[in-house]
Amino acid sequence: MIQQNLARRSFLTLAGLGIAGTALAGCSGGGSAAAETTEDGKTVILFWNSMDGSRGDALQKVVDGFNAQSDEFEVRSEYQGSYDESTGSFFNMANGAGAPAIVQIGEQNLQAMIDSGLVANVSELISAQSFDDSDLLEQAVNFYTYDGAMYAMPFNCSCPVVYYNQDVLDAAGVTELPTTFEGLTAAAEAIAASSDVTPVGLYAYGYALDQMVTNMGGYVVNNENGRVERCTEVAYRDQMAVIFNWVKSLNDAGQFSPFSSGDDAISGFSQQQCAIYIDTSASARQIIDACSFNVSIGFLPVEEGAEAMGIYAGGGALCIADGLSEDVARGVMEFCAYATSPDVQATWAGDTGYFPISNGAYETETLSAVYGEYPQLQVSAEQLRSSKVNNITAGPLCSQLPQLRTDLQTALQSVFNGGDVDEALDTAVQSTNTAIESANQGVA
Amino acid sequence: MSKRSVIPNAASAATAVPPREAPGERRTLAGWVYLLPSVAIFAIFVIYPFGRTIVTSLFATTPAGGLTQFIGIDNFVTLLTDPLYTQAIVNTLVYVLLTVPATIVIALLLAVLTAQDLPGMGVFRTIFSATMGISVAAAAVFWNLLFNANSGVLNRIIEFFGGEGVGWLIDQNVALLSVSIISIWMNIGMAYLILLGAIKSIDDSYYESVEIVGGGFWYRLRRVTVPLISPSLFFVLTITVIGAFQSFGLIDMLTQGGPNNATVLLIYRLYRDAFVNFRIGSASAQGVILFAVIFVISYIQTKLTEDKVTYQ
Repeated sequence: MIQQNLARRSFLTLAGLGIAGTALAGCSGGGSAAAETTEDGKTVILFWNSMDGSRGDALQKVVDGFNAQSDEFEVRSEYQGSYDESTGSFFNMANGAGAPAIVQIGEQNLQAMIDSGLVANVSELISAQSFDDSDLLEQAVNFYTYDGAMYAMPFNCSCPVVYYNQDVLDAAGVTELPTTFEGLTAAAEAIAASSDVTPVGLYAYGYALDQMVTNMGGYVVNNENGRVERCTEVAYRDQMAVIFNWVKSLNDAGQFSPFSSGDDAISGFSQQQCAIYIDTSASARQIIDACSFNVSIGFLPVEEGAEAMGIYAGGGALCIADGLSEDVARGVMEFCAYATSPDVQATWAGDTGYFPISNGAYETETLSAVYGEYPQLQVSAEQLRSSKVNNITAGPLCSQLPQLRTDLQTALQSVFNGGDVDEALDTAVQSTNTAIESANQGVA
Repeated sequence: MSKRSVIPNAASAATAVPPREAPGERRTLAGWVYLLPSVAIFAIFVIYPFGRTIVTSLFATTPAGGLTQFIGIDNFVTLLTDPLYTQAIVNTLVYVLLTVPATIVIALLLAVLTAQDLPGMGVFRTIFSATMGISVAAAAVFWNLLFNANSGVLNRIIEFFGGEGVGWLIDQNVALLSVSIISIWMNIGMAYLILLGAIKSIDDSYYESVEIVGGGFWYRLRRVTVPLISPSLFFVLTITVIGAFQSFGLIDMLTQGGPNNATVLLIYRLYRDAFVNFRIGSASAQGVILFAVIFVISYIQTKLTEDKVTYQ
């Protein structure tokens, strides 16, 4: 009796294991799975994005708009966490079953995406699917192009800008927005003399720091920003020293207030804890709406007498998975065509604060209306559109860009705490260079 | 030499066992079959990833984690000569020392004080264990408000009494302490509940004996309570230490390792390198180092405390 039971249970266990084994085999299967279709026969295109909150709603509007007008395709949009998290998940899927056809990345993820070998050469898709790319902003194309080929479709662009409390500036008698470090220092002195508000506040924001280097005409990493050959070390040292020394002089003069994070800085600025600060243009609408005073937006500063080079097109873009079936690839490019079309870009820009990446969008009534209501938003778009197009403003192409920025943030925080500029920069440079070397080893 | 001698010994030990009867043998087989699912799951989700991590730590990798080039212990050498990584090790040890003893001492005191059955004690017990129900994310959000250097309540209070505001999360000399305070506050709930349960299960006769002897509060605590709850104390110590080594949520939400790397802990650094910088080889090496550190500390801890823990 007992024996029989045991035998039966063993059998059940084995059967259970068999089922589990099959399920596991199912997991490892995959490869380039057949395209999924909806009930009404539309081909499904999976799109991973990193837009949360109100930006997520705005993106869903774009996706819904596309699905409504397409008979053949349905884009299914999934929020996958931050750009970095989404990129990591994309690597783990290795283009197997369930992997997305489109994944939204931040500019800092581009080199890692290219290195992974999992993303398509978008330029090839553009010619294969006869996609019209003539209207795309050349500055944006410049960033996402390496060795003549574009590896991501520009979609949502933003850049760091300087935010000013206009009421405090007026009270201090500053009539024109400064464009130089010296001008900012003079404005800070005027504010300190006329108001209780701390003149300048900053949080350690790596992205703004490397954009400021670009604007000052410097390469962020060597080999011309990694554009002629893979970068092997950082190249920002001279410009960064100018920026850091400027912060240090403000700090020493007691005209500076450090913030611990971007959110902290937004709330500090809106509560008048500082009159001038630097943040991404993507938050512009949120900041303008949150402040009870008038907010002005200005370009990033350069040194007195120098000409601004302009900035690179940061923000997000759409990477396309490699090895898609002909059908899905066609759908992806149709979606890209829709998402980068002037009207869609104009609405998207108005809903979010990103600026459009197609020239046509700037001619639309939608955008004119938005800029009529929020003239400040135009400034950030202008900063990019007036940028020169060369390898400096192509921006840094470096798989360790996130590391580079973290190291810079650390260095700046040490300056906030009274640390020595050269020492802080030495540590940052060394840490980033080690990381670049170790990462390059893996792709050599 | 010694290795070779082990094998025949093992073999003879195996043959030394008297041959079992058929039903017994079948029972052994059945036992193995029952074990198989958990062994399989353990192998797939623990042993394989562990082995894979060790292998990966010896290679240069692509951002997607593909192994490209065998580089031996290069990843380890790079890490251990990186001043920022050694700082992360120091930070982690300091963090463990700041949080673990404080958590256990405070939880123990609260448990002793609330162990008596007096009217209204339930309210205090609920309050003291309430932090168990608070998620890291929620705690991070409101502690961030409390700690805000400009508008936070804590600085307002300090300034009200004429003191100077503290840069809780901005000052590199204070930030790790600030995070530790939150961590202690969060961990007290769990530790308190376990210790309270242990104290409540102590037989009253022990305390009656103390009264006969005429011992006071400290005597009772030292000679009766602590020895009798030592298994629970040991358990709390172990989970708090491991928990402290694996602290991630608070750091990620409050400081991202800043200011000036003052709050970079080993796990946070590992996360950054694996999932933000995509240096998988280096991250794997950090996993191995973290394993070694926790292993050594757990071993020392067990050795130091094993003769002090008494099981009834």
